[in-house]
Amino acid sequence: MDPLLPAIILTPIVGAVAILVLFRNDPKRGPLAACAVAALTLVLSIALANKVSKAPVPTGENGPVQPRVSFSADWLSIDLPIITGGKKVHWPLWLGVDGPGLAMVLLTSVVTLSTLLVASRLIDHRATDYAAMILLTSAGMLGVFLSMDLLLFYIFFELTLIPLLVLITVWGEKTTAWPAARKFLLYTLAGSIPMVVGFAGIVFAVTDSAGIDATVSIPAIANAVAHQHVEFNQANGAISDKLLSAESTQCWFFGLIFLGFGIKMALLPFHSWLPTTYASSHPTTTAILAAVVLKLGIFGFLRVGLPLLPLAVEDFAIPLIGSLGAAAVVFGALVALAQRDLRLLLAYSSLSHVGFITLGLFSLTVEGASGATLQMVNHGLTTAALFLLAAVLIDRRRSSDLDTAPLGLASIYPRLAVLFVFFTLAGTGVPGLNNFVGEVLAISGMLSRSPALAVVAATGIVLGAWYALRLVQRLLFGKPNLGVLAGYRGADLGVRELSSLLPIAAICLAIGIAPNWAMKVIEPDVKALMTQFEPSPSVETENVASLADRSKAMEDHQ
Amino acid sequence: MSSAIETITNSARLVIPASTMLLSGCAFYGVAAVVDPPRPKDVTAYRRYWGWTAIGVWLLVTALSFSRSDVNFDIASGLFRFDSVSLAAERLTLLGGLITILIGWSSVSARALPEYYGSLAIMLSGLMLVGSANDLTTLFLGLELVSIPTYVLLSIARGDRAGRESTLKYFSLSSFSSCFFLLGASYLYGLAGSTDLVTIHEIVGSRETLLGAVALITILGGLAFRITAVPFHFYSPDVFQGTTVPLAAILAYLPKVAGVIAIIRVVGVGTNELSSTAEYILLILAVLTMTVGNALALVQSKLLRLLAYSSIAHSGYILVGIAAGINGNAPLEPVYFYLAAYAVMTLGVFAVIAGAESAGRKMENIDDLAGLVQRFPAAAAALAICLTSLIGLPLTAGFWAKLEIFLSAIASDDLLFRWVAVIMAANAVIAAGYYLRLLGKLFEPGKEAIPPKPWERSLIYATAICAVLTILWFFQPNGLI
Repeated sequence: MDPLLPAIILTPIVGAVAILVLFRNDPKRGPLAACAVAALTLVLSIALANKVSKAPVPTGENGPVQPRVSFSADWLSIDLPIITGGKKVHWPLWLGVDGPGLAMVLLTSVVTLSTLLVASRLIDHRATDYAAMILLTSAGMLGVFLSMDLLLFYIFFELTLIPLLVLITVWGEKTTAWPAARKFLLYTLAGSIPMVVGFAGIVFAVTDSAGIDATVSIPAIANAVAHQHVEFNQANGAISDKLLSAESTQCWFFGLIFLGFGIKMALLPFHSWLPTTYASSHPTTTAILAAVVLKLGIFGFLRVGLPLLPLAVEDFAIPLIGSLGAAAVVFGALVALAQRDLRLLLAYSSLSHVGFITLGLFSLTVEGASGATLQMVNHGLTTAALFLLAAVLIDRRRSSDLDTAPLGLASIYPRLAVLFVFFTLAGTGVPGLNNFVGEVLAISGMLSRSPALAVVAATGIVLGAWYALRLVQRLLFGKPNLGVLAGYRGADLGVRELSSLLPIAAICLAIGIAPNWAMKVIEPDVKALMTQFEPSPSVETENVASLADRSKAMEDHQ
Repeated sequence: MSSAIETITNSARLVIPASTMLLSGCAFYGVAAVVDPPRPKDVTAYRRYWGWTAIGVWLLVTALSFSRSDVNFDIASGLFRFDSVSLAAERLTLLGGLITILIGWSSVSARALPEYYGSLAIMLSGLMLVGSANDLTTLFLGLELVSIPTYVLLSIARGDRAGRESTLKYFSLSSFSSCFFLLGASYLYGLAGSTDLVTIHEIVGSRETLLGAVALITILGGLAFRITAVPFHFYSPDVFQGTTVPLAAILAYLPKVAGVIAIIRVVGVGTNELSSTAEYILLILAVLTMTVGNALALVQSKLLRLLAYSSIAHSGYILVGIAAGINGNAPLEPVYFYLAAYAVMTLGVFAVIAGAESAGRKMENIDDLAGLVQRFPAAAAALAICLTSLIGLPLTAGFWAKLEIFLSAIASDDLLFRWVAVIMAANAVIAAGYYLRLLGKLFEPGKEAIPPKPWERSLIYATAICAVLTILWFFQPNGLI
């Protein structure tokens, strides 16, 4: 029982309501108050990290998902009026955090604070409302990362849509924002509503087969599934179709869940909402979208897909999702090369980088999956920083067009230029910076499962360097065109922007130089999760051995 | 002989709220016959007088309904029975009754006000009777008590050509559907030799006969008209469009609840042959209804027509819930909750439309929603809440409503239900498309510069009740009924 967990989710919500009430018409103090709320959330998250680091490390004995710190509010529990096994479905409201969850919570808190700091200078229309909406969005995402039951997970997953819809439409581009927001919402719903059918299916199938009370708790279901899995192996497949341990059942539900998470993470055939949404939102909104919202889908696979439907995941991992990931790496990079708009270029580069994460996660190796988890954080940090820099740049230039002669912006915005180059290098995976670690782990994880896909993906790194460096060259370097530059308004990065971006740069550097401290948080949980995907020679040899023993015993008997 | 009288008195005790409502409806009619229409300057006082009388009746019946909680549950006595279904029907009636009284308060023409409240009271009592029916005759009585006042209401609501057309359409199709119901009921009587529903379930439900299936199909066809299930839906968009907003609100809710409760009563939740046949009929109706309703709603440009199709689509979801409840032999709480959530979200939309009309805006096309957010920000917020709930997003009652139907469909561990759940999910996405269109229009800037008149207070209350309940039921989805 740790009240820190609900406090992390409630702080931004209460803060958002408070600043809406107190500073509604105060565009100066409202955003600053929001920054204070975000800072408080970050402090709470760091306190949580401290607690997690002291908690015992999961061994995987109690199932593949084990929260290290958890909170359950049984007095808030609800019995849903759905009867299965003679009992109503009990919903106890369970929050919990493990390594990957903690990583995402920290990422969300950092990115929220940075975004609010930069946005407090850039948003001039209803600034307080904007800050409140960002806080609400981050509360929803924190809720997803901290949920330990399917229902709460789903509620938070959907809940983020409402403030996002407002953020995209009210502060986005005048003409394109509403159609883009509608496309985003419809696309997401087209995935998430079938997904909830899949969730329901998992709950009832496991109740039927495991003989446990109907539960929506992810650790409990994961544990039951893992046990059934072992029993299934021992029973040589003599289990009826209705059970969750049956492959056909799992594939059924995986199809539904795949839609939900695949669309949310913009997996290749479902990616078309991403460029329109990114390009039509305010660039600071896009920072949140690209850094954290996109990760909800991947995190969903990590939290729900892999532990609850291991057989189906094993079936689909390499041939379907791995291939789509590798294709996304190359496709995203190639399309990014052809872009003439800063935001679209960054959008497609996101698409390409998410491909690496997909590859790593679905290599189903400890190496690849922990690399992918780390890469979620890395990509979140660098993309958020790049979009925030782009937001500043677009504000100064009043345009995000790239189709120009080299601008030489470095001559008038030196600080911006330095940071832009830094984060671009981080994004392309230069050794010594954070993305290098994650991408190398992800690719080497895939290399052990499917070398072909790993090789395809590796070409994406080269392409990535190409478009990123060309971008830097176009915008920042070259002979300054003084006539054009004279039209730019606004100064170089100020205290707020620097205090927002420099810490991110420091984290990037720290992960790049010494990734161990970050891996120490993530790896034990990923290891516990991946035990069920390792070919289990121990079980088979045991069976063979016991059979041999038995036959020998029978011979002896005769 | 004395035993028959005893049965009747015992039965009558079970339907005290319904009979009180019925008597007050008659009283409204009686007084309406002798009261002169008001002079123009007295109209507000006149409305207040009738409105408060109706609220008084509502309060009385509510008190009667809630004071009965000490009565033993599930007692049947001849004509009527008192169990979870009748309790749910009563609560749903009272909920819809309050909101429709408030919507009608200022938007029905003053001359027709006593008749409006009289008809409404009789409809509400009919609805309660359907819930308490334990016999085919009382069930039919309840259903007719819902539909006959509707004809009266439709004809007094709008005197023009479109109004007459929609009245005639509704009248002829409704009586046609009653004939179907009676035909099926007569077959059931022939098979069972009794009109008592318990006996019918025992005898007809024990074995599968062709005549039993025919009877069931005919009865369900008749009832499908009431809940506007496809292919019995054709009248609904025309009638919605050809009448006034308060009437459309009543039509969107009360007959639907009556139909749903009647289906539950006739089929009888339980695993017998009757219900397993009904299950498939209901599933086919459900899939047709939601798909056709949503597809046609997508292409509408008139506001009331769109709402008519949206209400058709919601009937489809509800039918899935009934079929799943029958299949799993489970209590139908998801269905009741869906109806309650549907009541507040849909009637909320109607209340906002009626309110905007009362403030002098034309609310005919979807485009007329534009600019609402500048004119009436609070109403636009309420409408946005109701639309979010209709989509089924969290923080609204609609979220739990859809989720519970999904859960009960999946819980019935029949592969067919899984597919239906997937079809329903696809439908929910299509529906989100047109609700989002309304939401988008709502926040578009408007063109006209007419200064806004203040809203009628009763409509403000109706809108507020709907919006608040929509939010509240997200946090408290249980303990509703």
